[in-house]
Amino acid sequence: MMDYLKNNPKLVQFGIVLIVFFILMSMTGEYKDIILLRDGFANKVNSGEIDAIASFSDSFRMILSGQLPPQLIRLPELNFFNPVTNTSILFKLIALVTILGLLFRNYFTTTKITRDLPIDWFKENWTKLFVYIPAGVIVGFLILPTLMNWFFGDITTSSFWSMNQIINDSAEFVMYEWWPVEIYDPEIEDYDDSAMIKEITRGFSRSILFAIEFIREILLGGIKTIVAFTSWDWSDANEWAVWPALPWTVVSASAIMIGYYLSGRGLAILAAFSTIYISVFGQWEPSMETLSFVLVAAPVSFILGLGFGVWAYKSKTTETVLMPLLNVAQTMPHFSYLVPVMVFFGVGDHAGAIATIIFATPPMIRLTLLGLKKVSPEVLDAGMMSGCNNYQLMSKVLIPTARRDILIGVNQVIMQCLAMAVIASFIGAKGLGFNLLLALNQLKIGQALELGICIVLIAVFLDKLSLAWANKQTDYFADLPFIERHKYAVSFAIILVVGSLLAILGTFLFKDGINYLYMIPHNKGYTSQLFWQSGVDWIWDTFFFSLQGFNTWLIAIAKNVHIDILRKKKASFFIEISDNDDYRAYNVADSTPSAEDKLITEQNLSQLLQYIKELKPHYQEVIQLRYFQELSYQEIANQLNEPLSNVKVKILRSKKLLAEIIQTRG
Amino acid sequence: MSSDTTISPSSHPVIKCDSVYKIFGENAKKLLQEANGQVDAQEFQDAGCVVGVNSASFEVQRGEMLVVMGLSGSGKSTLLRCISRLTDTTAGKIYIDGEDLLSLNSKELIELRRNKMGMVFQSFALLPHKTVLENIAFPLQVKGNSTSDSMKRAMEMVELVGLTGRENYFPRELSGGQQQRVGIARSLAVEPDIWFLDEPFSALDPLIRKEMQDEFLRLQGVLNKTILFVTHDFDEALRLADRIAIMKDGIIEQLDTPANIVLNPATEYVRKFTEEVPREKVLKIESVMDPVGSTDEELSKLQVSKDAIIETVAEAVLSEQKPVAVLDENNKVVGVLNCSTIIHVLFGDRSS
Repeated sequence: MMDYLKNNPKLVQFGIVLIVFFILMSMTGEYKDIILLRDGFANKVNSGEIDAIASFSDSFRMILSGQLPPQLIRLPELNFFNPVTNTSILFKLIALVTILGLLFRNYFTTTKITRDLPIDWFKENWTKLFVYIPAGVIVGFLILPTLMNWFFGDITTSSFWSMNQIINDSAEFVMYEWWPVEIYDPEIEDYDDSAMIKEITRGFSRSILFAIEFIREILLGGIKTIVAFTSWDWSDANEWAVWPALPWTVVSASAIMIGYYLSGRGLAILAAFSTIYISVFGQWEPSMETLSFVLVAAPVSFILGLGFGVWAYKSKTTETVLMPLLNVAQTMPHFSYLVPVMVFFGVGDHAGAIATIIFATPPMIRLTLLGLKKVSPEVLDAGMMSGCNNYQLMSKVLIPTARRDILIGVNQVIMQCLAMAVIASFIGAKGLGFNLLLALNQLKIGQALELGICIVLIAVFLDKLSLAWANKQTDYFADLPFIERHKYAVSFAIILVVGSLLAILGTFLFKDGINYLYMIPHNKGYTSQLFWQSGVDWIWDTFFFSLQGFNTWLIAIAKNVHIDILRKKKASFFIEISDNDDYRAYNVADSTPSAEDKLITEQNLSQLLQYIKELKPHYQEVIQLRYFQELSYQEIANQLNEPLSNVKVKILRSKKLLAEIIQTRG
Repeated sequence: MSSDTTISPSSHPVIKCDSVYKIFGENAKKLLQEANGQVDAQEFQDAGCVVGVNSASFEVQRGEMLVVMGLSGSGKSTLLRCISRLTDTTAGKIYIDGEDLLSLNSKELIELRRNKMGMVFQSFALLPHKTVLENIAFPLQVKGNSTSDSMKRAMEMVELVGLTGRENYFPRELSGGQQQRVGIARSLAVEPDIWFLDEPFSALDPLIRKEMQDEFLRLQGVLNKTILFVTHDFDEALRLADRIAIMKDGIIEQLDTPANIVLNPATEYVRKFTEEVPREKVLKIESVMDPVGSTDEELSKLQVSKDAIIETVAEAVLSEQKPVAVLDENNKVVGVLNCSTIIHVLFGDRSS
């Protein structure tokens, strides 16, 4: 059996793909009570309906006579698959054919060269029957009938078709009930019941989270790292114990220096541009949050990818198992990872990082494997003849020689990490991605654009940096004095001191409480939001009716199609339409207002007019012109005899003021 | 047997192969046992196995250069890989300096390779991410030598192979000949006793190949290593070898000095190679001279060494009218050389 699977890796791969798809599909489904299914059998045992256990020979006899041995039934995991036995003549034949088939296959493969007579071979190998007969019996009487029952039996009793349900339940069972342990909880100072798997995944989450927080606090300052080594009480008692943020000038100058050290002027300029852009646009904090997230996710993905790649290179079996997993992992939509990750690891930065790692590792594995396979056998021989041991062969010969492909892998990892920055924010990852999501939800096009550029800059800089690092050469004959040899470490020390001094100076320089030499906060940076927003507004102003017409047309089509589908469903007799469905059908989006809508609108309108009257007269005027007479910006400008930009600013301000009034009154 | 017991340590063979077999395929070991040493390539092929090396037995003495010659697929590279244990032999014994190579565990094998073996490859097999210097220093660093020591030694090797000034180039920036110089320098960096060369000059164009052969002979003159040299080029083999082993289908057809191979080809297959070989370029006077006193004619004043290659003295001998005396190292007359003999060698029965 194992040999057969080894020789037919496609079968194994197919099986693995099926299983993984089912697991992932089911994770996104609904939860139901797992216990029902298992307890059904437990009750049967308790009531004496079935025996608790049967001896080996008894259970074998039971299978032969078409019964399931009790220990098989009592295995809750097995019962998910709803095993069925059948010893009718058809299945007896199948069992016989299976045994003979196994026998002949073995005969032909082992005697391909020696060409023994079947009878001679059998005399030597008849003990194989001890394996083949049980195998035939199990396949013929148990596995095949079970499969038949799954696919052709009654759908309501076949557990195969409720597989997603079962896997869902299993996941919940594994996470919360299986393997109960007692864990000491320092908060309540007592032992608490928990499940081992949950503790393991939570421990994993915590360590990832710690790494992220640690890097984040080096860059942005904070207290959590200190608390991790002491306690909240201690840090509350000692107010000085707060880690200060690195001033943005220090981070920026260090990035420029590293860029220059690794690759020269080009990378230094890129570093300067990126860091200054991020800072000036007031995105320093979210950018550093994203960076800390990437600086954890990318190295972990890299190490995992390299490790698995090397393992797959060394072992054919691993490769066979990994390939379908990678196929699934790479074709699954990004979003579908989020639910399982949330189930196992919770919500937060760490969950985002784990989802990112899952997504960023597969290309790394693939490219590592590809690169290693491309290394010429002579180079491998040369390494062996140079006296490399296994470790040296891998780390000094194979991986460096395959470096071109591995570096593409690194590039992929970094790109995937930043591509996942936005998606990971759905499950609580902070940073640029989260802000971008907010900006998009509020239709702040300009802000979203600025944030997007931040992500791109970080990605490009990190990518170039890793590439330059890998290609860095050493000069063996440079005999330099201490300062020369450690000039970059010395420079960093100087940068740190000067930057900190500047930041301290800044506290005296800037009187409004914001230290621009320390960190430029989100709302104090420069923003081009207004420019982009007015662009979008212009598009709406100019093409409003055509766009609106298209919208209405699309919605009308969608509505009719949906109603059609619902009618068809109603026509088929076995599906009942609930009130809920009716409600949904008539609740399809419709832009034409009903009588009630009109009434509500009128009431709201009068309220709104009240509020507008509270504004200053020149604000009232622009609102009137813009939203009641529906003039364009240009027309308003003409009418008021004011420049266009003034009009825009006025409208923006009046909207803000109006919003404040509504909020305070409403 | 008596010769074995009286053998002196200095003449102890560095490499000794005792009926080495290498057969590729699943049931190789079982089949070989059944065949009882009588391996027939065709029979094995029918059984799904490929015979790489078929009962190879020979010895290589210290400072000797054995050239293994054969066409592609003849098993010469496989033999080399067996002796360097890059592949495991199916059966037989291999001794390196009297040590059983096949019984070494991986740690001992690594030690052996780090200290006693160096190998040069056909396609150079340089590490693409390392400079010339780093490539040459690689075996030393693997061995655990300090960076400064290995770089110093590597620099010496760069000078030895004449690549000074290019030590910081990457392999991709060098020509084929230069790359192979790096390969040679790398294989010599650890000062190995045994030097394996697997078709080192095959990938080079003819002019460079000639140049590299000269370079190789120069190096061997300086270093005097024990060498196992694999080639498919018979001229190259004749030019370099102390002894030549000619292989066909995994079997060593003949193992002898170049002169003996040219003069007395053991099999039809070997004869085919030797037919086209210009003998005067291979043979020494010794192998064609007549014994002293075989002629009544008066000897000429010209005297030649018995180790001289015929080509180098042919013109001088032919311009003499009389037979010429042949001397050994101690200037003792050991033979007589007739003009007719030379003419026979130069223009003789090549068609027959």
